[in-house]
Amino acid sequence: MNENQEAPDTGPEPVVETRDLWKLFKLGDEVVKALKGVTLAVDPGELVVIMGPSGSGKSTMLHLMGGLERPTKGEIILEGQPLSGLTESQLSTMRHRAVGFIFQSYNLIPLLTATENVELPLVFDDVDTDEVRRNCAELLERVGLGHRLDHTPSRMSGGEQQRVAIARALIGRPRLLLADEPTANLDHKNGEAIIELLTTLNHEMGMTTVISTHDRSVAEHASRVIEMRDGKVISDSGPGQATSDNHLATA
Amino acid sequence: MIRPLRYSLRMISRARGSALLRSGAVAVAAALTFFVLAQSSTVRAQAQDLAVGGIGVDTIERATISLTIIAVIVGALQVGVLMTRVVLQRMQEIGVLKAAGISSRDIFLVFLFESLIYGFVGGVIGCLIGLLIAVFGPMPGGEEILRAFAITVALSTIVATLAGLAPARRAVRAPAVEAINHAW
Ligand SMILES: Nc1ncnc2c1ncn2[C@@H]1O[C@H](COP(=O)(O)OP(=O)(O)OP(=O)(O)O)[C@@H](O)[C@H]1O
Ligand SMILES: [Mg+2]
Repeated sequence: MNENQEAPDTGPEPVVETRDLWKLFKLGDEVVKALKGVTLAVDPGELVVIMGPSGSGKSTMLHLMGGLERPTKGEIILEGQPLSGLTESQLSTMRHRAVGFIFQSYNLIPLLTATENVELPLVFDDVDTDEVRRNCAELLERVGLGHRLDHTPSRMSGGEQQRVAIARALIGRPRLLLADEPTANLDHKNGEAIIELLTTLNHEMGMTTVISTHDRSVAEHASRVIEMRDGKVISDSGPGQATSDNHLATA
Repeated sequence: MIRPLRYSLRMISRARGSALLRSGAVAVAAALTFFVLAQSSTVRAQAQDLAVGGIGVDTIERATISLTIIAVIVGALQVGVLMTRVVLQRMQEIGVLKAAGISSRDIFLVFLFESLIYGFVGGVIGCLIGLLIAVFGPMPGGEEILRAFAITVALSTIVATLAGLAPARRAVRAPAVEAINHAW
């Protein structure tokens, strides 16, 4: 190996990067442009909040960044890997390894207990079941549900269900946590608690996190706020303290 | 293989009521198969003994095969419809599995195993029902019963698994985002 050919140090490699990202949806005869050329990079340890009104393309953005959908045009680079070259099954493996998703409507499996929901991403892996179980219990404790391990979702409040969903997103130790309007179905108090939890995870575990929301108060916790309108980024506070001082050398 | 099977069993055991109902639907077709198979050899023997005019051994053979085919078709349709409904009901779960990067193969196997299990359990239940019905006719011998039992359960399991192929493929092909949003 020739180490001399390495690129000069330009700070940390972004966890995820998008280049001129376009996403069109066909709705009958109509074509909806959900994303119109979005370019951005999320560095390790950032807590990014994507703000924007309904229909501005936030969900589409998160789905693409997490490799859940393919762009119409442009490139996504996840952990240094361009996604366009991957087959469906490689993309799936990439999601499995690198990404944790949290959804607005929690999406827990009603028939499974909290623990079983959390272990879901790993139940098909060739891993030690007892160890996974222990990690599930630990994670559930961490999100404040140590006393709810064997409860099914129907016996939990919305806030509790979203905590289970957060634990589920973390069980595979992802590099990137994507939360699509995680508080939209919660009242203010519970929503606040969920954001605080995500903030804590970001600070303590260095979990790179992207949250979409249309709630302005969520942005207060962010190291970086990106505003979207009509499929475009209209403002970006830029990488904050969480990243190298590369971009902020003038400060 | 073992992990998708384990997951299927877990989901079935949690939805005990509806799982039993689905097995029951398969059991009806299996009961017919069992009954026909168990009786056919007895009836054939009697027909030979009595040399009943007009009813040849061929006719009995043909009736047995036709009835079995009907039972197989009915059973296959039932499993196909039931499993399609199961897949649609569990779209959200499928979406979550896809988002978590569970392989298509594992998702496919989860639903295929579910069909297989309904086929097997339904086959066994069907034989028991068929046996109850057989009491009212000429009782077949132990060997005939065993033979009918083995064929029915095997047939039921195989047919259900084959009928589950299309629904399982449907689960795999569902676009992840739509599945999560439960768009249908
Ligand atoms: N599967 C789809 N088919 C057709 N149009 C779609 C699809 N998904 C998204 N869109 C459209 O793309 C645009 C962006 O949608 P997106 O869901 O990304 O917005 P959003 O910012 O997440 O909105 P919200 O705050 O309501 O969740 C919208 O106009 C939407 O109608
Ligand atoms: Mg959205």
